[in-house]
Amino acid sequence: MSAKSIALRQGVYVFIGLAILTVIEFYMGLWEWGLAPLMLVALLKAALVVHFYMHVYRLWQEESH
Amino acid sequence: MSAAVTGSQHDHADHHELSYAHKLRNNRLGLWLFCFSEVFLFGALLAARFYLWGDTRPDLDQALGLAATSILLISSFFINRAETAMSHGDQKTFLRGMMATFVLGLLFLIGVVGFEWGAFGIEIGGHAPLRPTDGVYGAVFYAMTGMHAIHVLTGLVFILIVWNNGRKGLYTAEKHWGVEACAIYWHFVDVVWIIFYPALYLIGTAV
Repeated sequence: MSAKSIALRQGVYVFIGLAILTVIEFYMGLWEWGLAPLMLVALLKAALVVHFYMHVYRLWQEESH
Repeated sequence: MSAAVTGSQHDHADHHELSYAHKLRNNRLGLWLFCFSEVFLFGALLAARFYLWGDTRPDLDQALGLAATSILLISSFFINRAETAMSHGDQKTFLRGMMATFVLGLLFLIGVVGFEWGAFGIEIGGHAPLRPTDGVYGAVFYAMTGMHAIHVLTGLVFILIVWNNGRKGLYTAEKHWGVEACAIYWHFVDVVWIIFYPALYLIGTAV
């Protein structure tokens, strides 16, 4: 499998993770789970985006594009 | 003589490569510092929400909130796909991904401003839209969604500029900082909404 396919596939997996967490979050909200669990799910989603989509780790890398 | 000239050209090229890598590191750091400074702005709005609303929230349309969140998450998927495609020199997938992101961002804006704010005069699910004058609920809701909507709007302009540059062939697999910057900014706008969504729609008892 090419490097491009692997990178594109990773994007799909992250999106599926985000979608599942959003559905969980939605029902947690409907069942009034409260602040802490809902914010925990939101922070988990944010962490996924920051790491896999925003590539925060590149800040510490020497490589260019 | 010829070898000396070739060596000198190599040195010159290496210097340029190094300077591009150096510039890229600085650009990345600058953009992340900008995002970090924005965290304080959105964090202040979030603090206002929890201070003024406490364990309550306005009775907003849940389907619309979920739809807006889903649209923004899908747009993040597409801009990531576009950036990945460009980093591998796939111009066609890049352009399609950027355009999909633009359309989805526009849909999000229409959903929030047009329907949630009631700019189209349409009531969804029997919910009369919240007004900015509706006490602390209206004030905080419009401050949070308004500030976010401005960022979505600037993100859309950014996407259009990068798409147009890409169409002209200004980016390559090796040099596409503009694409990366646009993607980081758009994802940041998404991250803000990821935190705002439960704060506005899910946490607390609807009043």
